[in-house]
Amino acid sequence: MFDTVIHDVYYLSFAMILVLVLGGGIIAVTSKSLIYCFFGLVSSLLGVAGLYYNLGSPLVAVMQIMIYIGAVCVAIAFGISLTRKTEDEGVKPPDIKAAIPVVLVTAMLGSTLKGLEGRHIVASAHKADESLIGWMLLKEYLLPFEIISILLTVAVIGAVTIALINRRIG
Amino acid sequence: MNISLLGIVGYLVGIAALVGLNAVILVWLERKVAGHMQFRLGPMEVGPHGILQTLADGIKLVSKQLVIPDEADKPLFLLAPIVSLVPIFAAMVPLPFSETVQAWELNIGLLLIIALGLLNTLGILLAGWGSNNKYALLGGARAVAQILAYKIPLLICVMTIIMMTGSFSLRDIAIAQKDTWNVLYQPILFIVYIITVTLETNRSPFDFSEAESELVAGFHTEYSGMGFSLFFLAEYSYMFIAAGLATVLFLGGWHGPWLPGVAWTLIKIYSIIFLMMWFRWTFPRVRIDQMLSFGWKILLPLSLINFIITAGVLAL
Repeated sequence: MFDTVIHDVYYLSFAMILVLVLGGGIIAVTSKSLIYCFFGLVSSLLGVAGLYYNLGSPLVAVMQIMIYIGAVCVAIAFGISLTRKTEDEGVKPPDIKAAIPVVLVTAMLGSTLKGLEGRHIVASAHKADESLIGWMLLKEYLLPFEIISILLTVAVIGAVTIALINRRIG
Repeated sequence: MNISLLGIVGYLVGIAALVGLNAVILVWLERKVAGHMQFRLGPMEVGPHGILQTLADGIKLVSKQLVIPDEADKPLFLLAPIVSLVPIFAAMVPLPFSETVQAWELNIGLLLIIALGLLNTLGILLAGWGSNNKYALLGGARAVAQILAYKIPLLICVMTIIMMTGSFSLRDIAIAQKDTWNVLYQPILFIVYIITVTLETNRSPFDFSEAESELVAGFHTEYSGMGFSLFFLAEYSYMFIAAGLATVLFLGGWHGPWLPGVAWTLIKIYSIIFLMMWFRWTFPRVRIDQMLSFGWKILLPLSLINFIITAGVLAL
């Protein structure tokens, strides 16, 4: 009986994570207020961390929280806290340019799913060896690892840009 | 992974009891320490030496009306104390109290605690923004501004210890200090850690986000009743977790003569918390710009130099 309860709890937690990811995402792209967009993004990223955990990789989940929420979102919050609080600083009315990322993401997801078609998907729950990941990052994949660290620079520049644009409008 | 329903329920009840009891003890202790350091007695009326004073205050806070300002952003305002408190329940999972008493041995426990500690800042920012109050907003913005100044030295401290032990697991780190505590190898790092942790838990002399003399009460200016008490539960629980981390990283975890392991862990944790209370009533609050330059110009280079020297010694 306990097993079925655990199973139910597992699906319930998965449903809650989905609400976090999708709800947060919808708030992030539709809200009128910049701070709501920000917390929508935070909730979405937290939910993704939960997904990683459910897929059996606590290390990636913790790293997701540390890098995306601890570094990227804090940098964005820093930028937002430099701006004024007005009602209409969030999402602007729909623009034709907004279609570009939608098309791109749909195409990418579609092709990925098509590539997975017919394959046997096994949920991997084996224990990841963290020291092995460390070795790989500092030996074989050193260059990609360094390139990814540009991400933080991008986040800071984005935050400053948001702040500057709002300053100029105000 | 071996999970049983009873284990989960037992764990949740245990943590809730620990969070509540810890806050009750710490609020009383804080008032007593404050009193005695100022040649007063502190609370004396409710129970022997006022030990039940916090319970009385708690009942008062629970029964109080939760006032929401008209102009406040209601969803954010109500969400903020919850965002502050909830991560604690997960952050207490990997904390070892003795060789056998630990909710769940997680091989990345240290990272988990540090990552979840970041969410507290978001709670403070939410509260600051949701209150629609200048003082609260300033408090929230300060919390975000100072996070980078203390988090990087803190992470370098932790990395040095990880490098010495070769493990992210808090249990392994404590076991490795069976004979010699890390504080004897890394006294400077221990001081840096205590300073950064005082910053992280928003304790005086670094309590910029709630500085009474500057910002009324900072991010929780508009909160009353349960909202206020949830913030305080969170603050005292973060103090407990930070002191627990210091115990495991530097003071040898549960190791000590005669007494059982759990007793030693609790003695060490509450000694560090006492030290933090002592700071509060000894040092005047510094200015935020002083703290930021202290963080970037002194703490960061100090911890980096320590890191490099340790790496060199370990490589020899």
